[in-house]
Amino acid sequence: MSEFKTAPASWWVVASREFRQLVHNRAYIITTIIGLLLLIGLSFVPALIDYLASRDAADPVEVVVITGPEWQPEAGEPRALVQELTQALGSIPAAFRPSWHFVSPAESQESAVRSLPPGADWARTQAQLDPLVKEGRIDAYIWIGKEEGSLKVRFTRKEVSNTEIGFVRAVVEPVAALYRAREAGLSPEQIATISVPTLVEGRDVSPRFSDRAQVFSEILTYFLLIALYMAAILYGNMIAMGVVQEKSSRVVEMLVSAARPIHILIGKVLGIGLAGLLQFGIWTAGGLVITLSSGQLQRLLPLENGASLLAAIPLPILLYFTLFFLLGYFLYAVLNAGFASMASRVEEMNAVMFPTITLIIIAYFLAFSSFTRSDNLLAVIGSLIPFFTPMVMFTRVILTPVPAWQVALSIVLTLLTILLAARLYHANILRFRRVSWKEAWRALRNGEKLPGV
Amino acid sequence: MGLAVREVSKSFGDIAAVRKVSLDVPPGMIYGLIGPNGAGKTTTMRMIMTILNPDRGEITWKGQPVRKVASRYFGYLPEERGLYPNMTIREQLRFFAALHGISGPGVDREIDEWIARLDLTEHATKKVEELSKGNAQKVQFVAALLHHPELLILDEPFSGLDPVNVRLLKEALVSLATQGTTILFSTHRMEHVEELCQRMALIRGGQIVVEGTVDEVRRSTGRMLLRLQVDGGRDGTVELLRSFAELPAPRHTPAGWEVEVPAGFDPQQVLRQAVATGATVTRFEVTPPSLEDVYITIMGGEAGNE
Repeated sequence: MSEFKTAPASWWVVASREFRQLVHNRAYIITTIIGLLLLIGLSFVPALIDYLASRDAADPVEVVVITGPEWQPEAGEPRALVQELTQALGSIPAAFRPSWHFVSPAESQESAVRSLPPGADWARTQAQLDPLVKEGRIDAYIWIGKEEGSLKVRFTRKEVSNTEIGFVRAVVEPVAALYRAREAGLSPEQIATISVPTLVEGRDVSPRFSDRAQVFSEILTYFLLIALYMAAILYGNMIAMGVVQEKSSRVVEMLVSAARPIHILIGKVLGIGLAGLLQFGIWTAGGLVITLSSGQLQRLLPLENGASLLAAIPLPILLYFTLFFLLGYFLYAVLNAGFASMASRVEEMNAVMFPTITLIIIAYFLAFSSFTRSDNLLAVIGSLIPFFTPMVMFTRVILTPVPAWQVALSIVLTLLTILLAARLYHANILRFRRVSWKEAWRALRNGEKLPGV
Repeated sequence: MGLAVREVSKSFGDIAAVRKVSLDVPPGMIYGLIGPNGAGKTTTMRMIMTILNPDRGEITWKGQPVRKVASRYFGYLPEERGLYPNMTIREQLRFFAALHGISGPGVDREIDEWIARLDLTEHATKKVEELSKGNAQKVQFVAALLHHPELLILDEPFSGLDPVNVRLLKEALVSLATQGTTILFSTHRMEHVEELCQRMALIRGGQIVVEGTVDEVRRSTGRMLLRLQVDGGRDGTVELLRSFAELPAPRHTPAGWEVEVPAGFDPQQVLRQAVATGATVTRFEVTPPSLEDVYITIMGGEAGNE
């Protein structure tokens, strides 16, 4: 008799059947491959942006600095101004800094630029230099001088963007301040005192996580919402389809003669969930390999290697993520199974799938709306309604402090909803006809199980 | 002690599907449950399988409540046939064996044995959706017994099968019973019961009407039939029978002329009379009515509603 072995528990037998059926399913394989190709495609986007940016960076813009009338009290020394502007430019963070290179007229290749005397007024400068810019012989020039008693700055290029004007302002302002200080007769020491930069610090009176954790929590919240939404729709549909097919093919009666309906349900949800996890795992691994190999991640987050990525996520965030993802998957999966059990033929699928899909979509939008205002009334109420809890409560918990009783209550309510949906499944799987909402409700209320056909 | 069903009742809403049904199926016996559609056969079987819970009454197997033993020790072929359409026969059978808690190379070997025995070899690697209805039904039958159930419950196992497959299935049932498997099946075809069953029950409107051995059920109406055939063909036999004023008009059946024996009438007088007239008697038989007759007598008009 050693030839016969005790098989694993029935829910595991069901789960492994579901898993095997799904991973051999053509649609599943195609979805996995398309997802991976999409990821590879997406991984080229940052590289493309980099390339475009680097093409810009490779072409530094040479900006000729022209000192207009009454600029330098020490009688027009453009070289000093070039230095001051270059210094001011250097104080802009490297990631945003335009690739400008300031030169004095004397350094220019163009004789028409070199011949422009210091303190040239605007009319003359414009007349002499604009044609050169138009013809592309010089990239740009900046004119700084006094007109009608006040300081005026003009930046000239073939095309000037608003962003560039912003940079010009940022670069000129500290230089102008120095100029005014000198004009007011302050000594170099006094000027040095007033030009000490002010230290600015941002403070958060209800801090949740460190800065890096904040980045993670936001990324993870987006990830959970999108992953849960996809899983709920994609795999929920498969679960509903499986339930209806088992009913329409009548194999369900063979199943319930061998295993308890709750075990069949658990096995089904688990098996399809594991196949889904495998798919997500393949995508995540693929994404990580691509990101790590192209070095994108290190630039995004200063990490040594991929292994420390997980370690860098604060434990509470990771736990919440796991908890709410599982809760959400099981909730929507069992809801799908419960509603699907009310249909008896595949043609009736859409009608019974409608409630779950609607709930998932509402939850998704509610969660995104609470992303910006995660402590408003709508988010609080939404997070306590079991159908929305996994997405909305997760968003709240990650982004703002939530009272523990609310978290506990929402989890308990969600678990109760899962149980109720499981009972709906149990009550309807042997009714081989379309079950009305009234009948389903009566069965639930009376705790009826498996009434006859 | 085998299967004991004690005063079991089950209602769905206002409809009483099964009312105080009691059955005893001793171990190793083939037991037939006979009745028209809607009589409560399927509901009774589902309650034995613990797919449904009885409202009242109890069901035990070898003294144990069925709830504890059904999934491991019972095998079930539901009336509504169903398998996974996109799995092959072998995968499917392996799955159901595992679901009943048994796996290993022994199961694989037995699957092959049953596939050969039920004439399914050429379909073994096919998916169920490619099979004919009869073949799918045989696969489902195997799925119900791979875990060596002590009690096999078959709801209308022969319906939809051609005579060759009915024969294969009957042989399988007899050999299983010989090996000690207890079998309870439902049908509304009397010849299956007469051929296979030691005991049977007639069920109607959710209640057991008659229960006992096939012979007891046949005698349960109290009616007796006289079958007679004498040389000289039709006229001789009919004339002879008509000479008894107490006898009703005879009917012609494939087995000869048949007449209902009224209470208090001694059929031996007919034989004596025949011998006295010098006729050669080729058939003289006093027998209870066939099961089919009993069934029709008991079910009355209801049987015709199917």
